[in-house]
Amino acid sequence: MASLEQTRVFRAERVREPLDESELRARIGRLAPESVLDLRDLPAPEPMEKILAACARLAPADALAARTPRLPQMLMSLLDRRGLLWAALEEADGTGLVWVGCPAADERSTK
Amino acid sequence: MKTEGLSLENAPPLWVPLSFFATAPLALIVAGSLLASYGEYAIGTGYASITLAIAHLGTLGFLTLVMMGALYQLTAVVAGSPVGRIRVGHAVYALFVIGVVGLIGGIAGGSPRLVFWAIALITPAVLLFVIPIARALHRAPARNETVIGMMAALLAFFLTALLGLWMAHGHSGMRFPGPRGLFIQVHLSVGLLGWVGGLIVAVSWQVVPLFNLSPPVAPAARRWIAGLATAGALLPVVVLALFYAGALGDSDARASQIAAVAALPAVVAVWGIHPLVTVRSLHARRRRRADPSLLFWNTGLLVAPLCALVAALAYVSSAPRWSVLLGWLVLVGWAGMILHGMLGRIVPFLVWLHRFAPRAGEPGVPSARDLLPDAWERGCFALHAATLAVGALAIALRSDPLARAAGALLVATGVALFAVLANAARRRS
Repeated sequence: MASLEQTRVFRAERVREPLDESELRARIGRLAPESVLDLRDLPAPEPMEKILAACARLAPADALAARTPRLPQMLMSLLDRRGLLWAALEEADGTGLVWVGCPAADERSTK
Repeated sequence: MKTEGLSLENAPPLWVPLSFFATAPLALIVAGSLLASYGEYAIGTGYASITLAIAHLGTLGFLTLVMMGALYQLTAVVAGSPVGRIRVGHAVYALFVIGVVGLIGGIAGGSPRLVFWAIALITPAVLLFVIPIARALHRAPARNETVIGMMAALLAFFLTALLGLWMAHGHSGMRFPGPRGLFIQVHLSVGLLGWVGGLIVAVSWQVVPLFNLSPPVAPAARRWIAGLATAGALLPVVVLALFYAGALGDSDARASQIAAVAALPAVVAVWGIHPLVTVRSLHARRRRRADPSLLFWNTGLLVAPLCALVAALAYVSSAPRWSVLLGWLVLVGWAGMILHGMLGRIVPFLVWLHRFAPRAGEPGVPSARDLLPDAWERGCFALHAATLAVGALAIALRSDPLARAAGALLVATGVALFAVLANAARRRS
């Protein structure tokens, strides 16, 4: 069995350019506090429901972040389907940290 | 932790698992109807045809149907390996359900011809189910305790089905394959502890923390439980093989006793250690609000040690009530409760994921919880708990009115479960 540190994963497939962990954290740090959702005390599938509901309200070029009880793996394909950018990592304690961005209007139209 | 393959795209079409899940409550309704009709006669001995029919409605009609549907879903989503030719699952469903109906009808009605045709349908259903899932699990990118446990449970299912189909020949006009007591002992051990217990244990490592925000059970404990459960499920099969090879002498009774003792590691793991560590984990959960599914889990886990106790009494006593009570506690109490609770979480989640997740956030789109309100699930739990208690009392007291009441309550439990699942499944807006 791998240690928690070894199991840490970083996913950034859907961001425009690969992000490293510090850049992701910096990006989340620049968000307004109300744009960072703490969903760690919600059982499945409520974190996914809340993130998707918040994403529906994102304006072009806006972003949000969420802390989740674990890495919400199924969420990623749903974000892909909506054409959103995302990056996520698993924290050392097993919780997830997700950043979701809505492409600017001109980027979306050229996709 | 590998995340490859874990996506919605890997999940099977909604109706593959859902057809299995939605049919399972119907078995409870039929089993309850038989119990209500036959009363005390159905709980007097484990060998009566009607008791055998009711038991198989519980094991094949309810537990196995739910677990087959769950394996289609979990192999793709938890193990990260989609099952090949997934739509064959519909054929598996049709063959298995018709076969089980024939088997139950043939056993209850004493019709060898019906049992013969049931064997002919269930055999391909088992093969069409086991082979693609085994292949998918074999190539799964994840190799954790859950995936390994699912593999072991699948092997146990195959062995249980093999023994069951072999024994069913005894009801289809042919000769019973060997000593009845030994065969039943091995069939029960590998089926209840290896297949049912093995899958409950393996899946619990994922779903209990996921739905309850409880801390994960220590990896060492998981490995011990998995090892003991697998050993205890497979050793009785080895005993059967040794008996046939002549290595255990020619005493059927002695071989049956050895097979029962060989199952002990699984009894300890599945009905002792697993409930203990899981209840401790649930007690330490971060979310203090008790969801209705927690009631099902806690009750099932509390009944598990009782199953071990009653199994010990059934082993040492010649009174048939202990083996009947063991069957009731296992089917309605331990496994029945846990699977009923899981259906209440998994079915709304799957329906929401397939139908509503792409539109989540739009006005009027329901949440997963809206698809199965807590109050309904609490009602289902109350009926199920009452069924468990009244049925156990009926067996302990050999009471005809209580047996009929337990049958009526089981019908009500099945109707309520079917209604809530159907309500979730039909929601499209």
